[in-house]
Amino acid sequence: MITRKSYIHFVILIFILILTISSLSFAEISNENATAYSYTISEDGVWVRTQDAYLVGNILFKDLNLKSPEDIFIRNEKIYIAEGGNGQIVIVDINNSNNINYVGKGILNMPTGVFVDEKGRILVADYGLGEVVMFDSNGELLRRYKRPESIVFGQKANYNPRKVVSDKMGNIYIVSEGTYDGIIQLSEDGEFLGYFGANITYLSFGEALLNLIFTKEQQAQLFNIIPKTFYNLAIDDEGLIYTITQGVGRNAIKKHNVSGNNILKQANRMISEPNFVDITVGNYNQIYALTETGLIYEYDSEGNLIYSFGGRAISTERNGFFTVPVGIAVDQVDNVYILDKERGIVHVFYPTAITNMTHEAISLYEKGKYIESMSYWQEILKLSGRSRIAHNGLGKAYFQSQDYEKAAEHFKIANNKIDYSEAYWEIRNLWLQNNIATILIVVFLVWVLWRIVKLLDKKYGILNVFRNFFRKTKEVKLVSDVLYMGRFMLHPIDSSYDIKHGKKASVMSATLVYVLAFIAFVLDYLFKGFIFNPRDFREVSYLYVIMIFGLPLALWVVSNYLVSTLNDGEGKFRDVYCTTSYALAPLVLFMPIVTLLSYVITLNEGFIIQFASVAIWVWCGVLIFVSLKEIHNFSVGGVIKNILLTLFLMFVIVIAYFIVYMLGSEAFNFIYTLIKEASYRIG
Amino acid sequence: MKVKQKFINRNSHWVLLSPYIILFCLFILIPVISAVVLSFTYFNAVQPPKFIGLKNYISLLTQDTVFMQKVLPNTIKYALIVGPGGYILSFIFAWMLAQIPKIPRTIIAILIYLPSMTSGVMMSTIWSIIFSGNQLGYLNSFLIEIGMITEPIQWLQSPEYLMTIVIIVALWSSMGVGFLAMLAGVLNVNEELYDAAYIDGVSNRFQEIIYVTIPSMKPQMLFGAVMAIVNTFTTSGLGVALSGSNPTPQYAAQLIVNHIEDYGFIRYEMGYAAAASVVLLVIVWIASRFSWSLFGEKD
Repeated sequence: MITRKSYIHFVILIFILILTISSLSFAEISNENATAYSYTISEDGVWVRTQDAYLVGNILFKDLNLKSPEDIFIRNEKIYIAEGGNGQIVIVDINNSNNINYVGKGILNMPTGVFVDEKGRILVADYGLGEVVMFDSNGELLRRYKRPESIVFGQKANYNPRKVVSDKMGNIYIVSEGTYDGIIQLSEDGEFLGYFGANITYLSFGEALLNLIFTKEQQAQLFNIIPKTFYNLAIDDEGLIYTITQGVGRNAIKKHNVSGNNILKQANRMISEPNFVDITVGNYNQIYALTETGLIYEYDSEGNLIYSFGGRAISTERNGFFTVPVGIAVDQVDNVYILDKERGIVHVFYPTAITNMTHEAISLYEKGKYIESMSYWQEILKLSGRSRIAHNGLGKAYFQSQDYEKAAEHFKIANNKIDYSEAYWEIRNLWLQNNIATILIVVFLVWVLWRIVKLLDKKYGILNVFRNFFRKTKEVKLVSDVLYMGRFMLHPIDSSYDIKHGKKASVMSATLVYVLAFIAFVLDYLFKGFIFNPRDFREVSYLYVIMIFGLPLALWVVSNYLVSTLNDGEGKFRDVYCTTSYALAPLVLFMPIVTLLSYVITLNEGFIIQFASVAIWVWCGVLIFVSLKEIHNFSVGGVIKNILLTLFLMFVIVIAYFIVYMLGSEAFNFIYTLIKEASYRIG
Repeated sequence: MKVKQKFINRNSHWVLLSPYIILFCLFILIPVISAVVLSFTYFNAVQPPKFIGLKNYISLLTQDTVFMQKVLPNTIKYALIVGPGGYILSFIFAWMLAQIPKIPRTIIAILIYLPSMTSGVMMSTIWSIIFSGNQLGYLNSFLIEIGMITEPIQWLQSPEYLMTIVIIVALWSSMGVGFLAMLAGVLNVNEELYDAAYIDGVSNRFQEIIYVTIPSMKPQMLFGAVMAIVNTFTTSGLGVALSGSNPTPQYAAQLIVNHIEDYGFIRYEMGYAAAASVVLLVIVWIASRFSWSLFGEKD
């Protein structure tokens, strides 16, 4: 939720950024070169514009008239393009674009994927032929990989190669259309080795339950769950396979280890798109993925988003916007090449200084050279102050160099609770080490002092002043009624009896307890320590907080009273009102302690917070249950029935409210338009 | 003669007390004191102990990151859940058992009590079959069967599950002596009290428990509570037995006693282990003071 204020801040920030850029040394890269803005994920997890990460450079192959090219690959300063329309592979030197070779003419039908291995052999996945073809570096046909004949592969299994890569051992990995079992893995001799890293289907809990009950035939009729097929793949220098899957919300990009499992650290938190078409791996193992709509996402090797740029040519054809992007490739200096199928051209993007620095920082960090990476991160933050990845990187660098205060600061900015907790633990530990003696001495002194005071009190009664004061205050009815919470909490049955017979508590005191409970609730809901606080209080509307606390309680009190009067409950409205408020006593008395604790506790001991919170709410629940039983004089079964009915009535009231509200607004609209119409006609 | 008679009269109680005093000293006082003394020394079980003052305690509290980061949080978590949880379960089972006829009651009581008797052996055999890491383990097999997971999970070797499993097993085996005491307590409540209570207006079983059963079995409740506390803090070989290694994987289920064993019997740092066990003693003492103030006779 971007408020106006933060928007203004944002504009100012951008303005300052622009000023900084123009004053820096690499101002020669003119800003107008970028046709599309670069975005990154900001520290609070939203997309923000950042410095231009890549600038549009040349457009290649304008005069080659490529006919629906399908795939692009770069190795050893050569660009390989699978030209589907003409059934050939086009090879162009990066440095000398006049040096053009053609491979596979007359052999290939409709090449859709091209890959070149370390020995320079060219692998082509030909969708038209339905096979994978291998050429040597001179373009001579070496082998054809036809449909594997092994029984393991199966008679009916699909074999429609679309994309292909191979590893250092010469094993060939084929993405085939309609193959649900994963990537087809062939040996260099064409022997079927097995399927690799299939996507799996997930059962919802309900489906798993049905699975348990239904017979095999019923299951076959009901569920037809087929895993998604891979759409494209890439391989890095270490031989790890990267895949993309279309149409999925999570795990659209996967990095497979040898056994086919996804090893991206951020796997479930990755920011991705459901329409990726191609993927490639850069020199620092950064991952580039291209969407159908022309967005390019760059991730680090763990799956954190670094940049997003590019876009679709909507009405005009401009450099840097694509009509039908199908392929992405990266050369040795991190230039990004995007293949546009419709227009048959390749757009080249050059990384800017900040991108080069980011790459350098990430690669140093991944090698474990944290201290060296620090200066890069700092430089990056100067240029792009809201980059989450930079704050995280800098925080980790500080952490490794044992500067925990600064690490904690950057993790906090990056909203990284897990690492912040680690850093905070270290800070706390250091503090404890330095102060443990003092603490022990102070505790001991306080204890001694307390003993002495107690002794003196016994002899001379020096505490009588306070005692009298407390007694006087307790004699005030309201104060004693509010303090009655303490007894209610421990002895709900007797206390409810007292409340029911009007001996203790009043509407006034109960209201006061509600107010106290509300304060405790707000403190817990919004103002816990950073590690345990999932919300930013700046973003929560106060009306909402009042609603989620007050509305259920008000509904509960009213509906419980209504239900109980019909169910022979003895309680009056006042009783329900008072006991419900007093049942919140644990919340009033203990939740503030938990909230305070959350400031000094790290995730390590985090269960204390969760345990205490759950215990408090359960305690409140038990108190409500017991007090209901007492004030209405129900049996246990009766109370359960009463509670269910109350919940049902609450539900009905809410529904009724919505119906009335909607009908009311309809009616209002109707009358409003009627009057308007009438006034228009008359006037 | 008179002096002698007087002396005998004055001090003869010591003779009567002596069996207890001797046993108490031999089995409790001397070990505790020697542990406290050892905790101030560096002792590797080969060379004679060397006095090093408070160093063990200081390094335990400030330098032993495993202790502060894993062991202490684990122990608190384990104690908070297994202590009260096992205690409440014991009471509920005891109360329910008290409602049924004698013969099935005896049989079921023995069955419930059994796990805590055979502790180690049965635990590791039964539970390691259920949580076995291959697809033949009962839980893995079941989950694969219904399609919740596709490949077996290493329940006992993965840090994220081990603690939960240890807690479940501990709850299962927590019906120990405390449970038997409570069963006896519930059975011993005078039946006439219930009748009297019903005349005075008690109307259901719940009120019966609150107003009659629990007040009249306070000693057993206290005993059960103390046993529960001592048990949770001391019987903590579960994690090691289930995972088959000490330290447990990534210290996931490392409790104070495991830590003591680790230092005492694997690394032979007896002084340090003694310091840790003194800390454990203090924790147990504080906890039983707390339960005493809850259930003890207030007079």
